[in-house]
Amino acid sequence: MMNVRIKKLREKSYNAKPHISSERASLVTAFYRENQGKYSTPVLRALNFKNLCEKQTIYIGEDELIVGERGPYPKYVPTFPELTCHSLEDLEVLDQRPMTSYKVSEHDMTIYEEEIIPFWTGRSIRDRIVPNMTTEWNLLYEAGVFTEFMEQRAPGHTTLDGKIYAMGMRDFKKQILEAKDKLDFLTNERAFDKLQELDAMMISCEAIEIFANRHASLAEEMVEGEKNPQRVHDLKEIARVCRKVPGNKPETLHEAIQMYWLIHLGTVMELNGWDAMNPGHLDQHLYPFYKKDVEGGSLDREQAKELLECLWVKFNNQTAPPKVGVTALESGTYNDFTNINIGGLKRDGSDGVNELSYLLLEVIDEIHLLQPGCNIQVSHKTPDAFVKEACKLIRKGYGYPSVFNTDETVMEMVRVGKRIEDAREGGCSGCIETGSFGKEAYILTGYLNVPKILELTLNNGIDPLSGKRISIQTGQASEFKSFECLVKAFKKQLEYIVDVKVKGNNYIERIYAKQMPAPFLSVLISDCIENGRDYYNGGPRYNTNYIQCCGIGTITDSLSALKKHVFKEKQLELTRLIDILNKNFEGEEITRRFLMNKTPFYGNDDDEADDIMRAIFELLFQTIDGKNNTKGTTYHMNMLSTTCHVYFGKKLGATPNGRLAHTPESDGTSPSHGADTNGPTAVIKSLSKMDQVKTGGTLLNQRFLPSVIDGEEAIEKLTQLIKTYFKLGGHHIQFNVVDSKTLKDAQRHPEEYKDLLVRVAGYSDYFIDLDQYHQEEIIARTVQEEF
Amino acid sequence: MKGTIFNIKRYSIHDGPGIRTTVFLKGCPLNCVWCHNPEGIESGASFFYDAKKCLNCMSCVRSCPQGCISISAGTIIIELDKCTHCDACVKACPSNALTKNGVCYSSDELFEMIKKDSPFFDESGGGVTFSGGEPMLQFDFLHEILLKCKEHGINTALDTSGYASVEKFDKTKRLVDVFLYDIKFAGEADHIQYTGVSNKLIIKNLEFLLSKEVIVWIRIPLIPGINDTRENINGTIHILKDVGFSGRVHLLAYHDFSTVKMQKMIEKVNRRAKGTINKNNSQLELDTIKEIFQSQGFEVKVGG
Repeated sequence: MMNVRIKKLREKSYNAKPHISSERASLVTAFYRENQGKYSTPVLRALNFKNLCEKQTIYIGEDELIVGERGPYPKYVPTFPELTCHSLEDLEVLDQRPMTSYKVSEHDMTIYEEEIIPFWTGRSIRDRIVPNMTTEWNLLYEAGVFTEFMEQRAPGHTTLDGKIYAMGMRDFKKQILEAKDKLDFLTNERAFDKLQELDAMMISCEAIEIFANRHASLAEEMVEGEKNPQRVHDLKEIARVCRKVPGNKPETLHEAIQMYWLIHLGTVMELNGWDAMNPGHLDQHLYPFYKKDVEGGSLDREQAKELLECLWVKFNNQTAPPKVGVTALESGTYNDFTNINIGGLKRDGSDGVNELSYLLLEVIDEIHLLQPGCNIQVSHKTPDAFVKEACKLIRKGYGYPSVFNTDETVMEMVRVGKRIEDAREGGCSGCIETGSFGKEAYILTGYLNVPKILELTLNNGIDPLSGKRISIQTGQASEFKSFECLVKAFKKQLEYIVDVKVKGNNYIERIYAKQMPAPFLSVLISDCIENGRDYYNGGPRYNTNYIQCCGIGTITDSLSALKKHVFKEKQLELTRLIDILNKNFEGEEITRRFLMNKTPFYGNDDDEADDIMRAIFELLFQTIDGKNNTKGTTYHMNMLSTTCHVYFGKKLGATPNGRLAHTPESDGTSPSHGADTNGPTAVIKSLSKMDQVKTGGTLLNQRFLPSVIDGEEAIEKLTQLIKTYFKLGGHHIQFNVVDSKTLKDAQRHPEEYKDLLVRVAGYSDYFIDLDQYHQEEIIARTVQEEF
Repeated sequence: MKGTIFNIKRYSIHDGPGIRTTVFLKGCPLNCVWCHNPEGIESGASFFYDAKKCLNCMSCVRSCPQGCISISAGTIIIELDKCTHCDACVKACPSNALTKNGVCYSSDELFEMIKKDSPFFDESGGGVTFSGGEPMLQFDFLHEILLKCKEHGINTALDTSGYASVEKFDKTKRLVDVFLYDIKFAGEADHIQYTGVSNKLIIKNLEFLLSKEVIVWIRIPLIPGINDTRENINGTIHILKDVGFSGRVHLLAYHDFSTVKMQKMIEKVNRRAKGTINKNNSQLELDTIKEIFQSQGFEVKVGG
């Protein structure tokens, strides 16, 4: 049960309306006007961060124990004009749009019009990226063949390891000084660059201490007017803690949580990297403090839970910075995708589950707000009891926790050369992305619309939706004499498109490395200090670029239809079928039904379809994996769509599997909607034929009727289902436990379903906050019914 | 040898221990008024026709080499006497409005299907459940597939009405890990009235199985207003005690699955008119019956 304080904090956070705050934009603009050109870029960025830490409005709310906000108030969202400068029209759209709107005040509009837009036009990163991309890139981008992650937000997907609980900023500063001492200006031509970066890191450490001390001072001021003795006590404790961390390492649970939160805020104030920031293995990090406090008698379990719940509310207060245009279509959500790992393994390979892991499940159950997302990490050493507890939570239908296979993610990381200990200390962040926590920049670069590449292959490089040539010529359909000929042409298209995408990424990557370093984030990620290099410039121990492949279900089923009906049984001429597709099956419902009902589809444990999936997966892997980035390392692939399968579907004509034009593609690595008709074990068997260890993550959505997992025994069977999938090499599985009737009713009466959380992609969202397309998409997912 | 199967359900979690694959064998000597698998009663293969899915494209009519299909006014007529089960019509139907009720499998083919979920069986202590219909009706095939499962270490369950010769139970007793044994009525007259056969053989076979130290779970479908009377419950308990049963009892709530299926079935014989059972068990009633069994020392579970 939540106590009164938590109930009030939760309620307040739930009810707070997202606003745009122009404060950060205004401070940044004034700072750049004054200082641009005076310093090297890293130092300029660090001083900009320091300026924010010194001047941003700070907030300590009633009842709070853990303090600090990214903006001036809860859910007041700062903007980042140095990356993307919203236009006045953008702001109006954000204010007026019916779904996921952000209030924009008159005052903020004026500031944008007078100060911010005039300065940043032509100077923002986005303004420097878009006009510089090649024609080839623009043609493919506009047609929805791929997306670009970094045109509006900074590269991110960053997760911390345990070092901030063992080191304060003082210790980091000492490390930075040592690195500076080692600089060799006689023989190393990079020494100057390194010095600038290290100076910038030093400034950032000081900046976050200033930010913390301002909170301490504010708490002390608030003590003056406070009459409630309990609150006086709380405020004094807040002040004491904020004077201590993050300058010094934490020693109590309260200090450790506040330490994390200040660091978290620092990284998301500095830049708006994708997926906010993630604490990593929070249960493992906090457990020693919990144990010490409880054993020492200074804290009991309920008090510990209260502190954790205060942190949970803080996450929920941080609404995602608003996107516009294509990126808004990719993910229109208030969720900023923090994803907390629970369970898993320790560095030494022993089981990571502890008392706090169970306590966190309780916290999640009680708070169940939009944010933070969470997942459980299940290894071969994880106790069944823990998985069962998590399954009970899954049954409640919040859409979280999602479930990851630690053994598989460790293998994924070892495959690409990470140390075994670093791999175990890693896990998943964002939706399903694998990374070594605290030691890696694993940058998502954008989604790839794989079914669209088949469409381009069938149309010889012309986008049938626009009639424009957007890709290379790989042969007329009439020339494809066999299925193999078709696949060969597809391979050429794929290779060309991936090359264009990677060239674009590499260009953008250099812009970030040169123009938008993140010195504060660099302090926190291992080896940036030792290397004297920025997080965005190859500083971390590991540097990975991911391309996320969408629509494996749709393309597999489409190729399966072509293989069977066109090439094997010759029931349909290829050119005639392409004609039918380009007319969106108009007047051809019988053909459409035939394709839908008489084709082996992925997701049914049918090798005829699953072998095609494997072949395409292998082609994607051969094409993407190992491509060079600009940091001396390489690209890998993810099988993830987030909500991009809906956007990509809109950009895709009808497909040979009977899918109509503009409707969603299959999501993640899940089967096409309704294509899987043999239950969850068959889906899992199909998925397990994908060599998932070659990816940086796959995503499997399963929707269950609540009645299917009713009762103790059903929970046990759900646990067994998950564990079998993991034994077979599955990376991830997540569940929606809700019936279609409820969802349809929620569409009709949204006011009655304000807190209905559903699993969307690698995160949960309020169903009523989703636009109609995404709502329909979730309803269309196959329901695993009672047998 | 080949068997006729009318359904295979994977991730079956209410038909025995663990995660199971349930195989439904066609044909049943009983004809229970509440039967929820009426498509499994007749032995031979036949068809389902779903008028709602039908596009009236005439593909089935055109494809039939025997010329025995016609469609008029939203209904299909198949002259089953002429049908050779070549399946051309079913393959041609673009919308799956016309589907087979009953597919022939060799024991090897069926075993391949069963084996697909063996990783789930291993993890959960599950396996295969043979249900129907009455699986004993295709005894030789059943025996062959049971043997194959046992050779490969797959856990087996047999969901049976108990209405088969004692020899058949004798021959399968070592091949079945758990018998899911239906007891529907205590009284013989009721049994004949509602299922079409006497329960004497059923009780005899139960006694036989119990004497052979095999695992038996009793399953009682509770049909509202028909066999959920206090009298029948007490009578059932009396019989169970009489035959020396002291194990697990599963009470199965009634759901009307048959009405929709019956509308879609195309068969040679018209099933006899069903008594309309349009109510569900109340939770209170289920709980009460559960308590009665518990008070008599049985381990009781509501559901499979």
